[in-house]
Amino acid sequence: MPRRKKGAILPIEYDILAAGLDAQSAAGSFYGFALAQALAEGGHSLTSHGTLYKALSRMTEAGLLTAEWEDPSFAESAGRPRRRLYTVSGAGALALSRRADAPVTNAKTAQA
Amino acid sequence: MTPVERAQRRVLRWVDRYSKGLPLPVAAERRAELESDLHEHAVARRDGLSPSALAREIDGRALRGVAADLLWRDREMRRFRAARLTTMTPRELRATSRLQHLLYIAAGFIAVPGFIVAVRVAITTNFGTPGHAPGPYGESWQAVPIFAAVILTLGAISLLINSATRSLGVVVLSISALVMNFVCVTSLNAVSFQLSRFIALSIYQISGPFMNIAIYSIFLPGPLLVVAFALILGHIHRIERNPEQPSEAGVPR
Repeated sequence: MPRRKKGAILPIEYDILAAGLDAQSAAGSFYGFALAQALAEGGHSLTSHGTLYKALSRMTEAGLLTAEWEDPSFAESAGRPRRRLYTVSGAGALALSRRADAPVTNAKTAQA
Repeated sequence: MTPVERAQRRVLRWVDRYSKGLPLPVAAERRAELESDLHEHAVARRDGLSPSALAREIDGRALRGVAADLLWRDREMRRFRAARLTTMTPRELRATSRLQHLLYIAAGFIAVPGFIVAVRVAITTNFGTPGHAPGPYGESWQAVPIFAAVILTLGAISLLINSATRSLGVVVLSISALVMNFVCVTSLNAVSFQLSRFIALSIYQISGPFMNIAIYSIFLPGPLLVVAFALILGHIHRIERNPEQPSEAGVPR
């Protein structure tokens, strides 16, 4: 498997940034399963555990997302395990907007 | 236990499996995140799906993510080993290197003679001749499983080189040792008629009333090698274990 270029962002990571921005504008932050549900909208299957959490971990390390664990007392009073809450960072939002602004330069359009 | 609980348990067992050997905070964090995901998944979908359909959906998410889980482990393990190398004493480094080389030598010990035996069997059984006419000492296909075991051993060596996949390499090496032992013994006639006759006569002369036990003892080197590989790997893991990481049992659940 070819190694990914440093700083390169995968399509799923752009999807996470877009869905994450939507979710955080409504709730302030988002967590793993809520994100999987948002990504599955439109009839897709839920993102696999491995793909989702590997991407979230990499994006957090790359500074595209910030993550913090929910207050344990809050989770306890809600009767569920603690959630890891993510927010899209400024760098993440910038990367997404850059991609939206970038001209489409694939082979087909180049030929046209 | 409901089907959903069983599926959740399977997923968490898999998480424990692939995060084994990683630093405790990393493993515990991944497990906590999955526990939360599994809970949210069950709550969100329990009204729309039957318990068995929900369990299948959970299993499906886990199965589809296996490759990504292993890649994540590989990345984390590389990072952990790189950090651990800086804190190892020269003695620990030497010991790890020696044990690692012992595994390479063992793999070579299986692959090289295995290849020679495979070629020998292929020649004596007329493997590859038009129509695959059987040779005088065995069927023409007998070299195939020996070549397969050699290829398996080469695969094991490539896994042993990367410390993140070393454990998997030892598993593959163990399988190839067992396969090689079995196929070489069963093809002994095709390797050398004289040698197989000599071994058979020796067993007959030495073992006396315990001949059956003596016959099965020629299948013993494979399992003995497997035990040796497991001991070497366990020793490497004990040396490499982070001093701050007392044992796997310490992972908070």
